[in-house]
Amino acid sequence: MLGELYNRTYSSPKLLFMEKMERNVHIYIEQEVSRVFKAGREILLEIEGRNLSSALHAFKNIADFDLKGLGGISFFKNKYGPQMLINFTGSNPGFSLFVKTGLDRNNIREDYIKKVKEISHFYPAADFYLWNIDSVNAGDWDAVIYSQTLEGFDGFDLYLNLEDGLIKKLWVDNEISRVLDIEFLRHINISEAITCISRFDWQAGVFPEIALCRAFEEYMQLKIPRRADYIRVLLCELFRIANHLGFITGMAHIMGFDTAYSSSFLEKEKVLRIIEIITGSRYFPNFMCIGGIKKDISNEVAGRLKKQIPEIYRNILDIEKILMDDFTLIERLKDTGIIERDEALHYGLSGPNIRASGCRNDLRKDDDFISYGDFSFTVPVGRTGDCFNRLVVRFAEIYQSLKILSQVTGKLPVGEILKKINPAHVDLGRTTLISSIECPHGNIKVYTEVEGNMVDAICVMGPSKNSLSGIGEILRGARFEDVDLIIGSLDISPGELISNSHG
Amino acid sequence: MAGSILKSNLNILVAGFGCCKREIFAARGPLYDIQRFGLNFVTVPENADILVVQGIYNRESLQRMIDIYERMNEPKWVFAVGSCMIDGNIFDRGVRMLEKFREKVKIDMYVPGCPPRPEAFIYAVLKFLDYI
Amino acid sequence: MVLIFKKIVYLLLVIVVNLYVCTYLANKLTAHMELRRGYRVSKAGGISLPFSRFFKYLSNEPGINFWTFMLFVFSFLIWSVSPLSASMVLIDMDSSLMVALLMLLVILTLNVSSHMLTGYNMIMIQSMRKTASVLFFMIPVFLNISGVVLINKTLGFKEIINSQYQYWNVIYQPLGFLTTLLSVLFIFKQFKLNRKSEIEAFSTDSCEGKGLGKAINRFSEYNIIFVLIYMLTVLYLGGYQNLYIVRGEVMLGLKFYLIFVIILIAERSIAKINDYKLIQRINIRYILPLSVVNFIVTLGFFIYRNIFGLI
Repeated sequence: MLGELYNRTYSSPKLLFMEKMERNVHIYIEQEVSRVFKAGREILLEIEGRNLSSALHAFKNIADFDLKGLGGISFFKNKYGPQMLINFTGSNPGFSLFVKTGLDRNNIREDYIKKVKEISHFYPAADFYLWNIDSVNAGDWDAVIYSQTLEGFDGFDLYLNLEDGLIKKLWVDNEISRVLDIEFLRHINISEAITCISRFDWQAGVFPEIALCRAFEEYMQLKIPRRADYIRVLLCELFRIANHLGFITGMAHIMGFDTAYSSSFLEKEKVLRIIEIITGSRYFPNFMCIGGIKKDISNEVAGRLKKQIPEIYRNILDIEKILMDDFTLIERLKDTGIIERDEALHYGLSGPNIRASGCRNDLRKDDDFISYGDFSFTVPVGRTGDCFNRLVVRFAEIYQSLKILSQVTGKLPVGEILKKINPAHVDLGRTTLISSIECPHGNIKVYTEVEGNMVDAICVMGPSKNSLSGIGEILRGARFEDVDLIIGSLDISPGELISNSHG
Repeated sequence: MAGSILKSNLNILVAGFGCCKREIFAARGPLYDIQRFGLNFVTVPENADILVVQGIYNRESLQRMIDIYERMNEPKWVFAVGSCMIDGNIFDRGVRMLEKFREKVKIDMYVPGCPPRPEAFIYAVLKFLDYI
Repeated sequence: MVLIFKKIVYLLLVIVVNLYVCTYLANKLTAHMELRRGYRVSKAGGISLPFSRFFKYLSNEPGINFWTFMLFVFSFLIWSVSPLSASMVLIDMDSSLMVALLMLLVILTLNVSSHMLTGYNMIMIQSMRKTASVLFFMIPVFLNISGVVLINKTLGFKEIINSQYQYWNVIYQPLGFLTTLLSVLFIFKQFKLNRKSEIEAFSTDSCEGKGLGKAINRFSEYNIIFVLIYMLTVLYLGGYQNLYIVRGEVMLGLKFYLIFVIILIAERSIAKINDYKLIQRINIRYILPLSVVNFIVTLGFFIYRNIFGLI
């Protein structure tokens, strides 16, 4: 593998993984799979319902597949009826395999639940994706934390069973974030979809936008101008810093540390102000389009950004010093909410959460998706996977992002910002596009089905869902007082929890 | 007398599942500082004067919202914040989830935006204080 | 009779003014610590805030039960044994320190029972946990107070103050003063005096709401902190001892607000500790050993000086 990478046969480890996976599928499960499809930079298998079990058996037991974790299960409807999309992740959560299977049109609900139970036989993490089980009532549980009661933790209810103040058993109900399939906006065209998709990530809206745009660019073999690519990197890193600062603000708030809360909040507002100057909006930029970006950034803004980077760096160093000097805080954070590396991989955790558990992977390094290859940065890795490590890794990531930002502003190329293409004139035919990108919480995957220039189905598989599905493992044995701290340390963006359901 | 006391001492309960919550709570921070007008955020419905509804709703969360509204003490007011509440945003116009909510609850103030800036929310509350 | 009535009026006036100033300080100082401006809806820096908050509490029908009434009674009764100056004391008794400590315990326990009728399980659990942590931090306070009692050989506030005419007790008991101050700081951290909303469920319930019962509850929480700071001033810093030409009452007020402001600022710059296990760890590792060492050393000196007459 290293040799092939060294000889530049493949431009990135991800492409190599795809080649390997395609080969494996042809060797081991040729009969089960009805269609193998290369959708953008991911592999999509179409498997019929009756063959699903044997395919799952092969994924789990054949070592060559190396599919350790479950990335997510989604339900959507396209022209041909109800479908189910399953995502399996490898030992690197960025490398994944998508499986699409049709559902019975007449009893969708029963069929879905039956299939999820089948998957959970091989991947127990799938239990999280089950739809509302009627047998659960609040009386059986010692404590119920409803989604409204903790500030910032929306979209799910926690049912807890306690023993001596320790959590013995818990169940996550994300009924509240499930929206009926008919309720979502339907029959939209591609540009509308690019505008709407940022609503699925409330903390960093630019990432789903870039993922969707890159999916189309990959399909059309469009090479976007270097300046546009660099500005995308710049926006990505700005949003990453804003998100991580928001995370630190939230953690400081949970721990009641108001001095750190205020100072990190001010820094976050500073970064959001820069984002607002560039894009015009604080969270949902609506800035990307197929072939580049919508608006150029002026030299004045770039100069201002360059001037502010050292200032922000110094202030964040101060915040880190304030937080890490407090012994009560470190006593509380250390050895709280530990998740081991293998378990984290099984639940499909990605991004800073899995890096805190000691797994070094980052799609920015593993995939030549945007031009991250032009900049030098390192991927910070934690060791034990507790709350303290998750906080430290995010601090380190902010410094790396600032490093990238200073490099981008230093060598911003001059030229075009947009390959002019009118998506309304492009007839794509019927196709499926998948792309994934390293967002501040992990790998966000966007699945689109396009016909003509209209979007038939769209699915966002956010990393927050994986973090939430792993909560059962992390919280077991933790103390009841630490519930909000542990959930806060996982950096869950509630927008990613929105999903389709039926009936 | 009662009006002037309320005016300088309003408690706000933010309910719902949406990104506007993030921007509303940003008003509490050092830069915007909503508390200089005597406004405070609470978590218990009985203590709240203003209910802020925002974000997306399905049947379950709509019921919860109405429960929260019924538990609040009189006098009580409702703010609808964000474009999800006002025109549906990314949701289909045919579903009319919001209409069902409006049938049961009278909304006193609308704050547009996706999400509205913290300043917009503060401005709306200050405008509203003149009407009490 | 008139004299006692006058004294009661004075006492009430002092408590109300103290409440006003402390509410105002808590709001303004904490706002500045958090880089905010604080309450300023009316002009002149929002001096009407304590009034408007008080009237807000009264704007609902008075829901008051027996336990809340008892809480109210004891909150005032505790000041009747504590001298504010040489003549300003309602009940002059020999063991006033003992009585004040007992009343403090009564207030602390009643504080929980008044929360029991709110109807939310979560609020009750949290208030019980709060009281448990406060009681845990009272242990070093009791140890240190017994150290002071050993030095001054008396259980009355007045005698303790009078015996400090030459040197304050803080000179003899620096370790005791430090640990008491830390304990009071951690107790202070349990009661929220500013209006900042927290992330935790129902945590705003203790400081917001309507009804007379709520107001009394809030007053008792303030009162616990007042009594603790008062004890710190009286036991270690000389109480109402005159300083040259400055009157004793003024000195007592100055010392009281100095400690209040120090604690208020220190409280903002440490993380919230609502974690019972962590509180135990802090107390057992740092505060309790120091106070035990202080007590043992004091006891040793006491035995050598008074029983064997060696020093």
